[in-house]
Amino acid sequence: MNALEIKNLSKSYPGFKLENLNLTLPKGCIMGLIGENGAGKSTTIKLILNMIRRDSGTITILGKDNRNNIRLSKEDIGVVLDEVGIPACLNAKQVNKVMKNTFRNWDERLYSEYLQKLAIPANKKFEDFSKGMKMKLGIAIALSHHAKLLLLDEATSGLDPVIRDEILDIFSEFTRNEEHAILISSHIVSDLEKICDYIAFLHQGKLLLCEEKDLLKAKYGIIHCTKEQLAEIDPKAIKGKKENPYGVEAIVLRTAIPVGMAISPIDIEQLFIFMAKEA
Amino acid sequence: MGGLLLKDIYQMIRYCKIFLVIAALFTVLAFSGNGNLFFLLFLGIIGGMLPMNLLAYDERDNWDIYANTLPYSRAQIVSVKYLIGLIIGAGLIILAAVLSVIMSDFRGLIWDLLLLLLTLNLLVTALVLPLTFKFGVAKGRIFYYVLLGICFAVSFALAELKKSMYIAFSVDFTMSNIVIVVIAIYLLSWLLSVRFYKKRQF
Repeated sequence: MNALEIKNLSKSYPGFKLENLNLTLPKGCIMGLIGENGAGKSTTIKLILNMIRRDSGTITILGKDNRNNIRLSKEDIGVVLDEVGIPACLNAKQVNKVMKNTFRNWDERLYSEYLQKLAIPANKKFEDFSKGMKMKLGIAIALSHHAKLLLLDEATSGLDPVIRDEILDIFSEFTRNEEHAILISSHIVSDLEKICDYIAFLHQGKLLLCEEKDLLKAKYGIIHCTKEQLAEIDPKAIKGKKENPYGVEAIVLRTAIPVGMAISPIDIEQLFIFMAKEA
Repeated sequence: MGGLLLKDIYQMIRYCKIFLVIAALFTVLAFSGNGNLFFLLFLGIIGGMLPMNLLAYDERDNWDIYANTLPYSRAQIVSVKYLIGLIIGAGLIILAAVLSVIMSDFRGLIWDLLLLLLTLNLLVTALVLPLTFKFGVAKGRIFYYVLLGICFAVSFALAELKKSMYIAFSVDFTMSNIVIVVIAIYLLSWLLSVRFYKKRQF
């Protein structure tokens, strides 16, 4: 059973359309949803949580259709949104009491462990927290009720590099349990590249690709050549190109490159930028 | 639903201290001397708007979105604000009852006045919440003022009509009848808010 399955999901707003989205997140895996601002990442997460009405398509969370008793499914989901959403006047201790009366599986001991681990003050009001501190509290809450699926919308933005690294380690640790999975959206591609098993590119509401990260790296490469040399390569194998007066830089399928042409490895950010420009 | 209620109570303790002072002051003014009904009615109106103020804080803090990611149904998210409305009503009644008894040298309670305070308080909450759940706090507040204006205009027109045309109203406007009508409006308002909120998109 997959942790999350999205099939033919569509949603349109005036001036924006999420088109025919298909994603499958297996258990034990982390999927990174990469896209520019307004690409449809938050819309996708809200659709998964049934917070907005879809035009068409189906969403299955941990084997259940998300339109059937989503309230119960939410017991197994930990969510962190970019604005977190904790009331300004509450401190972490009061949040504990609120969540204890919210989640059936709320684990006070685990919560206080996370507060300590992430250096979150227990008695300080949420309104006095820094942006990074707010995000850390959101993450601590999401991790303290034994959720099976984490949905993280820009959850690492606003964190300094050291804390970000710590948080990413916590996420990796979370998916060591084969029953757990994470869908994380971000435009900080380097974060996702570090921890994700699957990468999905979303650009202007369209899914450009969704594949295993290692497979992507093995499949594509970057070449520097002349326009004439590029013309010899099958156009279908070229995923994106950048022309300059000195030649062409292009991302191509490794299998389509003529013998002898030098090819360098790509990073996910490059691949996204090239593909988004080409789309 | 306990978590939602607890969160609202924490917020009320933090933000509504000033309201408690105003409530005590207005009750004293209402029951002192020959009494001044205006203060009691005004207290009912501002008390009735407190659940909307809580919704305004929810919007400001993005809790309205976050609450929808937690294991609560939309009906529960709405219902808790109506529960808070009842708690505020009960609180006001107790405060007014205690103060009025003390101020009248323990001669007893003026039940009609207390019930008037409660019904007005619940009526305002019942009017304001469906509009807020439908349109959000900023727009909902405008619609509420418009609705309040219409209510005043209609009641004024009815009173004038009754005077000029000698229409005999068959309804008996005793306090118990008014309480029953307001409870019915409160329940209807709750159902309407649930309906509106279920359709809301975030």
